[in-house]
Amino acid sequence: MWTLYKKEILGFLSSITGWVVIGIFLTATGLFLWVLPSGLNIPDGGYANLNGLFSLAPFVFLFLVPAVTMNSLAEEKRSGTLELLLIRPLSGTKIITAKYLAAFTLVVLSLLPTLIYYFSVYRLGYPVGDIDTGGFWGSFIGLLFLGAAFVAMGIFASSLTNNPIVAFLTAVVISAFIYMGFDFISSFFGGAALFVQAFGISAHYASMSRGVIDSRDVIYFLSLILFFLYLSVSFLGRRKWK
Amino acid sequence: MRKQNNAPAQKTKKQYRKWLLTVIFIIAAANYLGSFYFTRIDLTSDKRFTLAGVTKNVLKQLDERLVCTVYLKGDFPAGFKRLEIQTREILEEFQAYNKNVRFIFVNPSASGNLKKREHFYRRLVNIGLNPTNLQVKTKNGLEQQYIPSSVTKAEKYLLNC
Repeated sequence: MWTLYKKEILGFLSSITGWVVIGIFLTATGLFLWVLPSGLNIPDGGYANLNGLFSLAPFVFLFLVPAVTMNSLAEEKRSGTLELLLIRPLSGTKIITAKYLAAFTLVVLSLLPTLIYYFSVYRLGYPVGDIDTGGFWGSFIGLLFLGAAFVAMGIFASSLTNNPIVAFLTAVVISAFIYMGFDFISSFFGGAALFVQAFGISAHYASMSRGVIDSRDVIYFLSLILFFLYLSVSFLGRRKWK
Repeated sequence: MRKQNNAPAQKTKKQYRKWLLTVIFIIAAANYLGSFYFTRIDLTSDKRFTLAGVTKNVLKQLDERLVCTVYLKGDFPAGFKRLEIQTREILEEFQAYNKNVRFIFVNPSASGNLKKREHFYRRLVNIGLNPTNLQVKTKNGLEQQYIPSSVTKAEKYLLNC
């Protein structure tokens, strides 16, 4: 399993995908947080915090994570290399886990350089170092959970089809719906609105992004990941042999 | 060959379906149980989202629906935007402990019609929410002084629950 994991990571980093994903993520967040005059702009905002990063990053991930995961299974199916993988003494669960961890590692790698933002705000604060360090790490953990959930959905979308573009679009739709969709439809449910919202990510991400880790939210994210990875394993095992 | 391959595939399909139900059941059970026994860890350095024990007790005893209407919404300068967000955050924090706490944010100046807006303001005055005109020329620095007194001084009305 770890061999496959290593191979996947090297695949990301030796091809252009990995670097483009990391590059776009940093460009997008960098522009919105430091350059463009938007509500998220840190120097204009005047407060030494990185809340902007944590409200912006989910939307960037919404498009970047599917781009990372779209190839993971769909491409292997199309080029026929999936059979090679399946005849190895490697269970479907392990294949999915390895691919999942590899894609998640890439997400973590793209997040690591944002520590520079933290350092910048740390230095810019008045007095220097006046930044809520604990809150930052809490939000950072929240963002990792969010990324992890998006990766699981992306892997699932990739297991459905053998066309990477279809996998990409499916992943975007699934992630966007689970991230925000339940919020939108919740107004149709009147009294049960809160219950419906609880199915969506944004209700759980909200408190995490302010640095409050709730055990319920952690359970929610873990269940989401487990659910989609399980579905991917079953779709992988279910496919017909040519 | 094909038939032989199909037979076990059929079997696994059934197995997967059976397991899927199990997985869904486990997930539902974990989330359900988790909603009764939970902890919230506030990692912020000033613990600004930690509720006092008294507050938690009051929230626990609340068994009727409590709807808060907050008249703090609209095109604000950054400081008030922040006040709005933080009000929302603390209300969400209440809600995390008791789902009976609900809140609505209302923009008192939403209506484009001046008469309607005046009428709405008057209604708010009648329930004891006095408006004060807000004259914020926002460039950083000046704001800082303004914010602490802003809850009572806001042109936009604030109703606490």
